[in-house]
Amino acid sequence: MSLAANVRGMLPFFVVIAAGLVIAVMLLRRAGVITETVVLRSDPATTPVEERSLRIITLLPKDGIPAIFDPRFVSAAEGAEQLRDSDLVIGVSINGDDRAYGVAFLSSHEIVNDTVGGRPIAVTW
Amino acid sequence: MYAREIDGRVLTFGVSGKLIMNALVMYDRQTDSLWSQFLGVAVRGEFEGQRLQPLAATLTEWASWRETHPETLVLDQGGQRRDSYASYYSAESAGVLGRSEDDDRLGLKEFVLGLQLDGLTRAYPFRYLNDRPVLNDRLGETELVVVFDREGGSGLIFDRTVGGRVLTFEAVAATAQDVTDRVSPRMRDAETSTLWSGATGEAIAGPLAGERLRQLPAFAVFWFAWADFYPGADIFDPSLSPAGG
Repeated sequence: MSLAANVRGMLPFFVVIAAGLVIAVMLLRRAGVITETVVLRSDPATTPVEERSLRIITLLPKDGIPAIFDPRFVSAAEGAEQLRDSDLVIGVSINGDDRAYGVAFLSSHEIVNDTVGGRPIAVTW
Repeated sequence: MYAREIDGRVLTFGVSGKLIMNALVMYDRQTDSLWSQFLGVAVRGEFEGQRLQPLAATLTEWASWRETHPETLVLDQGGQRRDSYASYYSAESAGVLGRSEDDDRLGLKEFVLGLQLDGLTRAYPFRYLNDRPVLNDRLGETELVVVFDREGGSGLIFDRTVGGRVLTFEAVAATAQDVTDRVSPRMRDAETSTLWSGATGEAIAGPLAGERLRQLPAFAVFWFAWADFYPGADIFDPSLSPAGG
């Protein structure tokens, strides 16, 4: 059998594979998971150059979880109305400025952009 | 916790929606660079390779922090709707670039607790969870319980099958002593009357004491974000709940 005839005979096979790939991509997209890869290179000035492949999975659109950019604060007494004794908090103390961030509340926002004791910080969870 | 001042610039960070090594990735609004919280470094964009400077923070119980820092300020949880996101929450547009198609079965800015399990998804709108601190449900083959903290606006979802037996949970009404002691949300199963912690999924007292419920991965997100990734997504329907919610 000639090569051309071989290829023609295998065409249905290729079509099925291609269709399978298209469907797989559609299902992956439908499942909401897009995977990309970045290569992270270490700073050659400070360490031996290393390359590391990282998988980035896109789960949600940007800002799907709202970070806090303008946090408001209350006194310890009012905080005691909002928090139970056993509730977990992240506590920060910089230049005599003490602040507590409730962990359960943080989990709905992931990031709080704040300035504590004059220092701009990001509290993350 | 990290310093936001990097290389002489003060950055503001948002949630990119991406994961590296199962940890959420931040982006900075100034350059759109991506920052891996887990690795402490920027992985893409203008700041690629730049390290984050970690700062000391304490993870502890509120009572303990207050005792050692009596003058502490506290992040206002009740004022969530009054912050700078207030206009964003109520505005019609959603997301950074706006959206081409809207699934308006729920308000775009409504919060849902999103669950993804075995290829299936379900969104639990906060508007239903507000009245149901403990909700028994089933998704696919898995019997689950949703525990919702209305004040903190956060929810946890657990598998409610223990040792091959499916448990049905109900919230334990807070007594006056509970309010004074401020104990964590608790629940009881109808099958054995064991008392469980809704915050950790551990059985505290009763025949099943010592057991622990398996936690299922769930996110609190805006509805528009969930619907964007899961078109036609299943929304929890209170009328279909097996144990009547």
